[in-house]
Amino acid sequence: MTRWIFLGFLLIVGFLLITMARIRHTDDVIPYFLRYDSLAMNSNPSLEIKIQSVYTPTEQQLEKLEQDYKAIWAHLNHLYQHPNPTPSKDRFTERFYLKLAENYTNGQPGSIQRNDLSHSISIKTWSRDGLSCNLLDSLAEFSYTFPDGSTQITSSQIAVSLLFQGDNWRLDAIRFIDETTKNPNL
Amino acid sequence: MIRVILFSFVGLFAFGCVEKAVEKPVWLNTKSTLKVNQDTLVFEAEAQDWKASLSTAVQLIYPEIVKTDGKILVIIRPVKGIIEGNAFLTLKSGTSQFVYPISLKNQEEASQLADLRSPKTLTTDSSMVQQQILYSSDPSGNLTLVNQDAYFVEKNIELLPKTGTFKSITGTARSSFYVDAGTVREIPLSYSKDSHNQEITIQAGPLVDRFDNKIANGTLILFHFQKDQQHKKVEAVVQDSFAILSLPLDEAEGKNIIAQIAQIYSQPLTIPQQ
Repeated sequence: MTRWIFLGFLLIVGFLLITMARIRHTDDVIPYFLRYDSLAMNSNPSLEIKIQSVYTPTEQQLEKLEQDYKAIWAHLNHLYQHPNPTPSKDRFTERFYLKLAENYTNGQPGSIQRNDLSHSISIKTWSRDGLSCNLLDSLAEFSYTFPDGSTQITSSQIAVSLLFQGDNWRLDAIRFIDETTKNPNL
Repeated sequence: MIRVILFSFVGLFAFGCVEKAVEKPVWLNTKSTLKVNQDTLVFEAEAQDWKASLSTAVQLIYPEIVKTDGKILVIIRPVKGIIEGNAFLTLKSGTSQFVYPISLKNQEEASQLADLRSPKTLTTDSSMVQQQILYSSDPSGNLTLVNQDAYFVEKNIELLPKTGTFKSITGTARSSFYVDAGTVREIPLSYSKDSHNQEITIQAGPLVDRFDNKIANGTLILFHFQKDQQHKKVEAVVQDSFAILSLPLDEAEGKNIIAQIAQIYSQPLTIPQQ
């Protein structure tokens, strides 16, 4: 009799363990410090920074800004060809991301590739708390590769508004003031 | 004769397998700048299975294609507006692709001003000068000019030393800032006895800063009870600019009471022995 009670107890314990394992919530959101942003890591345009703001960032803040600004462009270039904004969620503020998400429809990747070659940014405003930065990218050079293999280099002037949210700088608003082609071939 | 017929068949078969080159569609209503959700691009094109994609300044979108007699209409109709700027329209049929550079604009929409304040929390002890950063953008995320020639405006504003939660000129949560009361100016002490219940109530307040703002609820206040060499400390918190402490009468009688908030002390209050 004792043996049957013991076996019954083991069965109940086994059943509970299996049930707990099945209902265990698996969170697929990887913590920030474990994330590897391959897009950002594989992009390394040249970047020149001038400070024209009343309040100035520290060396560490500048380093972080430089790193995140390059990463934002790596993600923007990815979106240029692959419209799904989900992998770039951490690079945009909520309101900017929502617009991209609303415009997203699933489809074939685009056949035109864009890469940023260089940036020359002037920090126009820097908030005292270090959470807002507005800048003018006065010489942003892009290279476009077309389906026939031809390329085109352009030079742009871009106004950018960034907010530091979570663990990095995020794009909040942008304006392509002008973009001129250096080697028009189309 | 048989050989000629055979060669003819082989020739026909071979040429029949070569894909006919697709001609580049001709854009009939050429325009340098197009407005999304308004302008339609009309192309003269062969009847093919055309697909269109539009590389806008930040995101690839897929315009609608409508086929009519010998023409295709490309309608740019994103759910929301786009980031304005140069774009490329790609028309694809099979393996043939044709690219058309265009410039895109949204339809006119009201811009929203962002008013960021720094620091967001001030106390009346600190400088009341606050940094204000202004920029505005349309609902699609395109920066728009704040004044005639600037996308970004920075100002320094001197706030009034009045406590509260403020929402600046835009009224949005993001623009909120807070002014808290500074250090208490003085700590007035008083007491009242309840002989029936043998209790004493000690009151500190009203507790205000140098601008007559009530100091924050929850501020810690210490009541020091002293008699001869004995010292006792009781903690209380400020609520609506007062701190009230009730205790048995015999615990306070004949003692000196001093209240303390941070580095500010009250005048001693002596509870007479009955």
